[in-house]
Amino acid sequence: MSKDGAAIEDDPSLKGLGNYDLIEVVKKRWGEKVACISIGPAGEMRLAAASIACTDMEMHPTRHAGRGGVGAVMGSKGVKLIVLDDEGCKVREPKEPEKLKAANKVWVEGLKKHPVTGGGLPNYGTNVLTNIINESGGFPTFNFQRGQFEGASKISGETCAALETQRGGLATHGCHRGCVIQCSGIYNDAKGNYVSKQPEYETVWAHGANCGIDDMDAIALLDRLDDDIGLDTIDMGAAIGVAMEAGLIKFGDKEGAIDLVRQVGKGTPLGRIIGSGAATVAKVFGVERAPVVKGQALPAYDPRAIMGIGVTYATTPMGADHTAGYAIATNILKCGGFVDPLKPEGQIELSRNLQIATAAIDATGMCLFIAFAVLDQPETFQALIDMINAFYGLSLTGDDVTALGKSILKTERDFNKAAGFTKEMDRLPNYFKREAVAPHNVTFQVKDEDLDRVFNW
Amino acid sequence: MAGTAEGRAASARPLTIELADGDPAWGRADALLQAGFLLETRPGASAREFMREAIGLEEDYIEGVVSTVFIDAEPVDDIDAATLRPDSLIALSAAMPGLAGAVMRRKSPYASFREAISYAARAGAGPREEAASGAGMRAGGSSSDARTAGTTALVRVKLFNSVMRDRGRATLARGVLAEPGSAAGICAGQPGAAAAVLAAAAAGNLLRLRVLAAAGGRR
Ligand code: SF4
Repeated sequence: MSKDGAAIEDDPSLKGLGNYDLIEVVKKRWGEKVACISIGPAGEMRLAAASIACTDMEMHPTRHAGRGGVGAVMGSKGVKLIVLDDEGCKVREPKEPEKLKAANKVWVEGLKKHPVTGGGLPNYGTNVLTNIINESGGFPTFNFQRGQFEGASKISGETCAALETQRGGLATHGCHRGCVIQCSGIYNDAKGNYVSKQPEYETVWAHGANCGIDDMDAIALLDRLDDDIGLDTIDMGAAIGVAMEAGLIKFGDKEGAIDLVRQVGKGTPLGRIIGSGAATVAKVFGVERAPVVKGQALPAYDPRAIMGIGVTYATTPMGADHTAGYAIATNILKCGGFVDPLKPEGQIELSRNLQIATAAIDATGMCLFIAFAVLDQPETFQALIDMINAFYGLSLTGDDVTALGKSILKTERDFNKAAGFTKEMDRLPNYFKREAVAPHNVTFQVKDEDLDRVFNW
Repeated sequence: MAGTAEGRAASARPLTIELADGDPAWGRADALLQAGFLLETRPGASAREFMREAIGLEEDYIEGVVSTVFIDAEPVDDIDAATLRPDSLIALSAAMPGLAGAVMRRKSPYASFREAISYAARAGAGPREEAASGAGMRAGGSSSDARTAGTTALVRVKLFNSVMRDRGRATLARGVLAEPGSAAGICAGQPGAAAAVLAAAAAGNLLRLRVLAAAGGRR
């Protein structure tokens, strides 16, 4: 796609290429100033854990639409690659440039002054969560059998950032040019050669603690392979964890894990099973402990220790989506009423409000990590609305944003209903209610009737 | 997790080492700060008192930065009400991202999401009753003993993210106790250090360690 329009080409020579090799072809043909959206072999094979890759500033295919098997959808349409060339394109003009400039100033200041968006995230990336979620006992380990991992500090964001700096990579880096927060980084091997972008918290957890692997280099390589083959790192780590529980390989076997991911890329029968995600692997190998909702793997927070997140995992239309109910300013939006910080709101109401607010913020196209500053700083939230209004000449209010969130969720729920989903699918797997997780020895105790109330507004 | 420090004595004299800025041993020191070291404190000290007295954090820093505190894996809301007992593990962190990060913060409006594991929800149960009755405290031994019943409690400490970065080196300079094995990497190459580490290990003692920044280094 370019300023002159879109052209569709049939190119069988691209078939079977990994995303990294594919981008090398693109560079030769279209140069290094284009951006790409592509699928790897997993998407071509229409595997359920297939992702869609987008190139980053260095033109590496590292930024993925990972969840939901979207790579398989692209593969089913026969689309391998979309090349975007913006040469000669005009920059979009805001309707009210001065207002946009003023709002943007408040916005950037808000992101920079907040301890999360101005400190924790840029310094250590999302993997800064490893130490504290492990400390809370909510860090799923050995396929959700325990809530703490002995090797957590070896794979923490703090350790990873130090390693990146020491090896000539980057511990603070943006995934695109416009980012103010810069939560990403560049991960090099011991010889200083590029391996991957800084692995995210979810990736480090999925391929690390969940599989009993405490080696950052192995995790970075698995991240690279997932990006190359075009796979969701959460579902892959969860699938390998289930395979480990089934006895296919042992927990902690990093070479075995790397081999399984390579097999997905090669399309071996076992590789295709693994690439179909944790739910399929559990069925094939007869493992009851399949950490999935609506067929999608649970992310890096044990819903027994952090039960409110379990409510969102169970009920989100996408299934086990940790980003569906993110830390958004429910107080500012006042969707579902004001939340008194001293009187904790019920988990059902809070999950509902978070899902509504997050759906709306997602619809703005902003990176979800702005949520942390928006959560704590009302003026930063207002600046976001002011920017949108100034750009499009609108007069949106907080109420409009809430209404937007509700309408998005309703559309998603209607889609699910039409696709045959029932309320019985808004549930966590049964074993979370039955098996207590250490160290807190807690089970998931939210009642089914309460889960059914989440979308009653 | 490192095992209990129950019944462990500490080496009498501290081993003091100096590290130049850029020395890779600082990386191993950061690993120790994250994985856990030990400090002596008053039994029954509140989390806030511990942060002030044992780590030397100022009130502004505690309120402004240390927004996430765990005692024995339980997220704490009230740092004045939460108290330490011998063998407690206290972990200190700045504000963290994500819903889970927000959920874990002190007095989080999202605290209901983790009510099953919060400190308040479990206070008074099981091990804490033991602590209140004095069980879990060990009678004092030699003058170099790390714990003396009634006066000193040995607690395990972890410093994460910004707290580690801002205050880790100052904490090491004040002196900490560590398992000899976990301190060995920091001391490698330091004159006389290997013998002290080996002696502590052979005696089954904890190592009393001070790590100073060599002149010209930062802090
Ligand atoms: S904050 Fe968002 S936009 Fe910025 S680097 Fe991180 S993920 Fe990318």
